[in-house]
Amino acid sequence: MPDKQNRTETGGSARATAVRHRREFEPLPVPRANKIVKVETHRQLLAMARTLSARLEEDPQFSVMLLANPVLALKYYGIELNAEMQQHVLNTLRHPPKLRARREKLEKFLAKKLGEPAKPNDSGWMARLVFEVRGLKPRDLKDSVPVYKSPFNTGMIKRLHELRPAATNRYKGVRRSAVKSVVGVAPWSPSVRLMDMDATPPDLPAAHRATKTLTLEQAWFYKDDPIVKAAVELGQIERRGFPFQMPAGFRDLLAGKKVDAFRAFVRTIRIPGARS
Amino acid sequence: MSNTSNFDYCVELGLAPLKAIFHLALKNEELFPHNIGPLARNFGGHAATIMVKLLDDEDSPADLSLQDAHHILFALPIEIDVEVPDAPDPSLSRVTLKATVEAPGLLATWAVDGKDQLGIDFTGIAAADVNVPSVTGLPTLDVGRFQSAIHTRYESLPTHSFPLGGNTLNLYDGTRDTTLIPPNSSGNPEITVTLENHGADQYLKIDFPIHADVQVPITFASYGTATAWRKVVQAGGTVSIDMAVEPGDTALATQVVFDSSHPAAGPVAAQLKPLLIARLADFGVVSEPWFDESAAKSMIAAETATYLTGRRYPYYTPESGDDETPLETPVGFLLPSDGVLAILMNRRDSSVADTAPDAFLGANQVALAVSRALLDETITRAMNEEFPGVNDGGAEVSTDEGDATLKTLSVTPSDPGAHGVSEGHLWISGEAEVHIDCWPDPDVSFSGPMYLRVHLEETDESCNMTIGPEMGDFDAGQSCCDVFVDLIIPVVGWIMLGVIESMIDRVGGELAATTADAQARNVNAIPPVVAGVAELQACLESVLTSSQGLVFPGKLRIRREGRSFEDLAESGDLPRP
Repeated sequence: MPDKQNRTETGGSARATAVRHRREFEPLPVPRANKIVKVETHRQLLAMARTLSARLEEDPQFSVMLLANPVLALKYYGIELNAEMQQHVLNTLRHPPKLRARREKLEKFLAKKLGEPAKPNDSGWMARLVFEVRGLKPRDLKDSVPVYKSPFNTGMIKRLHELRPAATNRYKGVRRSAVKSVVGVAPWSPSVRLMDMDATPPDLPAAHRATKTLTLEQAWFYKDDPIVKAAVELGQIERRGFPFQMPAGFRDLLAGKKVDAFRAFVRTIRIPGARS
Repeated sequence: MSNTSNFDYCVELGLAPLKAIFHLALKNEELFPHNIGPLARNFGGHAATIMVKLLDDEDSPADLSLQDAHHILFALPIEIDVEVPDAPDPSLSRVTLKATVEAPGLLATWAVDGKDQLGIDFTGIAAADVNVPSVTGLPTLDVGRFQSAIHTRYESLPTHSFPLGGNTLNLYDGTRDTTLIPPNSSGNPEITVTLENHGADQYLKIDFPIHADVQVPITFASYGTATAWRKVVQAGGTVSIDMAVEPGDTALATQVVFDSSHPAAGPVAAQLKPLLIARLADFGVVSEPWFDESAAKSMIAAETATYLTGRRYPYYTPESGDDETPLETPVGFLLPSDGVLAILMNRRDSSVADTAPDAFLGANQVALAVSRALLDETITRAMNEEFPGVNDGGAEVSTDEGDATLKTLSVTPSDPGAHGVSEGHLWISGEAEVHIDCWPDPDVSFSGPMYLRVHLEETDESCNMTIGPEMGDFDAGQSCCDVFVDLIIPVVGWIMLGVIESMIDRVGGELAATTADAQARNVNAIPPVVAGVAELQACLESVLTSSQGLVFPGKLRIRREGRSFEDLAESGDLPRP
């Protein structure tokens, strides 16, 4: 019989599981020393795939670090990119073409309107944009949350719903017990990626004073202003991008001091298509 | 080692619910009438009536324990009133014997209106199956009881004066016969008895006040005492003394002693002794209904078996609600060392003999288990439906964040400790080919734990369990991972919903109607009634993941259903003699 590992009291009449037993993550072994390969052109970048593929096969464990920061990880595999190629790689991997194009369009639009680069994920910058630059009156958000799109699509819901049996309602007699028992699954977690930019924010009462910071989720309630809407959308796209690590974060991930989803879940990356 | 043996589902109930349901069954007058009788019986030739009472109250509680895989041993307080209207001894006319008997009941299934029930069946129980550890209320074999019997028998004799050739012998017993001449001696002595042990046997010593009036061949008249010993025999539910049988031991031969010191007293006594013995024989066999411990236990065992045989009460009465789609027959096993009744449903493999499952109940009152095999099938089906082609050439996954081919994906229920994870988990693993512009597509292999977190909200009126799958080992809110999380978590969540609801459906629980996208519904996790006995309300409180599959522990609220003794008393419908 398994232990009751999933259950702890949280007080009151509601009980929930508590976390959470993390696995221990060991430092990753760095790849062996390889002959340095310089990549300065797109042609060399494409050709480098074959070299990298072989080196990944030799030292597969470290390959997960490519997701933390491909430029820094490639350097461990003996592949050095010049500044142009570094920028190209990071930009290419950060977003697919459609999102990349939208991001560039929003960045240009906001820079033109504001006279400075937009920093929508800087909550102080966003508060200044809303209350000072755009002069919007503060709104009392209280516990309001943005409207999120469902991660489900209709087909998915239909397919998954078919896994469930129909209602039975078998026992017709009068029940003395009035207790209702309900079983369900938790609703999907809202994420910035799914904030609905087309939904209309609710009418909210005015707040007494402006806050000094505004998260993207809070700024969503001011998106009736077109500049704010563009900034929120830009912030959303930024948050949807690959979160490449700075060198310090890269080192922490490598050492196992910090764990992100990729470090936790990805075992290896290979490039079999580059061998032919 | 298996939570579900060769079945898909297993419901386990703990000893406390088993006892609660049993007590409620005992309250049901239709299942277990509390007063049986009067029943005609015969004890040692005495017509008797008995009343059998089944008790279960604070002073005399019934109980049960698990005897083996298929039997529950019941401790039943039984009270039997024996009435012998013609008992020679009035004090023996009513005896109340009380015992807590131990009787085994067989875990069995039977059909009621075409629906299979699981419960306890006493059919075929015999007296030899019933153990009676001790009996109270046994009558005491004392002198007073015999004295009363002798008095009664004396009064029933037609005469107490016996002539013989002009001589007369009178037998006295106090003032019970005032017609005797002469009347009893001064002080009106009564017949007295004492119990004496001689060797291995017990004898009743009886002293009779007498008077002899002898005219032939001499004149002699005197009061005196006749003393006789008669063997006490206990057998066949009676105790008896045959007044006609002189003991073989000469020391216990009948004696006659006169008060007079007349020289003829001795010869007269010797002469009258045969007459006296013949007259004592008129007392016949003094027989009383009697229950020594052995006889009482035998009778109680026999009456208990008679009472129980043919009776049964249910523990699990699932209904399908659809005659065309009946539920499968529940198969029960008792796990005595764990105090568990395991109810298996949906036989998976009929090629092997049914065996008892493991105990997974723990300290809970109820727990339901889903087999690993069924869980694997459900997961595979859901994955195939949501990611067509996965594990068979690859499933194309296209999102705003990028495109990939999901080549393989597996979700494996795993034990605590597996994969370096200390708690039970679903181990997610697979391989995807990620599409990158203008570059060879890399293959990414991934694996990691997913936990099934439970949030439980419980009030006096509700019990809400919400399962939230959670990817392990990293902090939520990393939007880069939302795509993967958004894909896999809802799928696993809905798989869990499908698994739980199918389990409830197939074990005979109840599901309320729901809308197509509702992610929760009202349920009765197990049949909410034990037909005619109890109403159950199960509250699932957790989910435990292991390589055996899933276990859902919970608790039970139990209420009475059906009519009790008190109900019948209130309505005036108690059975009458």
